[in-house]
Amino acid sequence: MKYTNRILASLVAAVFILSLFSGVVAAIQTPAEQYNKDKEKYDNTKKKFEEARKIFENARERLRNANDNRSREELKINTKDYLMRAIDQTISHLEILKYRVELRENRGIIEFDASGNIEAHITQLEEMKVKVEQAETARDFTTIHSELKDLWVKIRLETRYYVGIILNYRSNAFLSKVDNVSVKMDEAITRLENEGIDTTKLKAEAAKFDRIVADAKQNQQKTDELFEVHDGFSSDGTVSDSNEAREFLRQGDGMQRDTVKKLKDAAKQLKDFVNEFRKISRGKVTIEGSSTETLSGN
Amino acid sequence: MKLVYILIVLVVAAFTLGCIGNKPAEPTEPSTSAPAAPVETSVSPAETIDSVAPVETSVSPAETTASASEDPFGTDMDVAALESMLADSSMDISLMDSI
Repeated sequence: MKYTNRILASLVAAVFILSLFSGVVAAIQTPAEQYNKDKEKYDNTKKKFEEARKIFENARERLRNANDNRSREELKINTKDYLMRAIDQTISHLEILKYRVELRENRGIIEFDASGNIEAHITQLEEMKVKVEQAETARDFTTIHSELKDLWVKIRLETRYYVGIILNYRSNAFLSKVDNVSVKMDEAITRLENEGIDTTKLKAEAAKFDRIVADAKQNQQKTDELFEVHDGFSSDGTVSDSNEAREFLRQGDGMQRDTVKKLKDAAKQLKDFVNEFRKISRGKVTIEGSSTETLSGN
Repeated sequence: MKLVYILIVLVVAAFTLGCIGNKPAEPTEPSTSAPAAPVETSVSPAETIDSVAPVETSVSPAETTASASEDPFGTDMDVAALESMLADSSMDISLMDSI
């Protein structure tokens, strides 16, 4: 008996020690992994929602004129499933955007409590799921669906607004960064010239880069101005007028896409500059990565 | 036997601690985010220009990592981060008009 107790005690002790590490191990998750997990969940819920919608549409069509209890019950189950899946997908959508907003690097960019607004919507959606569970009549389902649609309109507008603010911040950071790069490009040209190397083509590449960046800056400035006014949104980040908010975001989205496209062009142009620099430096140029970038030649 | 009971209590406590440990780690940019680099340019082996101050590079999840020689200034990663944000912003749900 004493021997058995000792074995048992050893086993429990081992489990105890292992369990101490269980939380630590689970907590080691990089932000990229967290994002991928949220994205995977979103993709799964989206797939399930689309399936549920298709099944519901088919059932509705098939049982449109049926009056028997069995048909009504089948339609009820399909309607519930469709609504539940739609709510799940909306929650997954919010979780991804919440992750974006809560990234350490993004904290402080949004002046209001965007995370709190998102959390409040998730709570609303969880409450809606209870309503779906309790719904019995066609009228109940129609009311919930209508509520969900209204809420989705709000959620979609608000989350686009929040991502838009972060995107503006990031685009401006990118533009500041390329300003520094541009200075270094000019310095590199000057030094090559001092060495008697023909920099005509390199200068043309640099000028093209500067033009693209100038265009992007101009575009970004207009976008910043638009977001400063934030038509249709209150100062707490919630929708005050759906139509105005929609129009503001339509304009903002177009401008932001344009800026990102220009920034992409600038990045490509920078590569062209680097390639040309390597070439005219007689192939003795190295570009070293990690924490420092070094362009060197002779 | 008393020792076994104490250990069982400790196990329960440890699992509770484990749950606390499961709290998501504070979100930060992923490790792919390489701080933008100071740039140092020279045209002769003996000549070196002082590097510029490091510029923060914004990197977002779900993006590819480019090698330093392909993306010496980290601009491709920046663009990927911006495009990833745009993609998330475009996510939509196709709710039915009515049921």
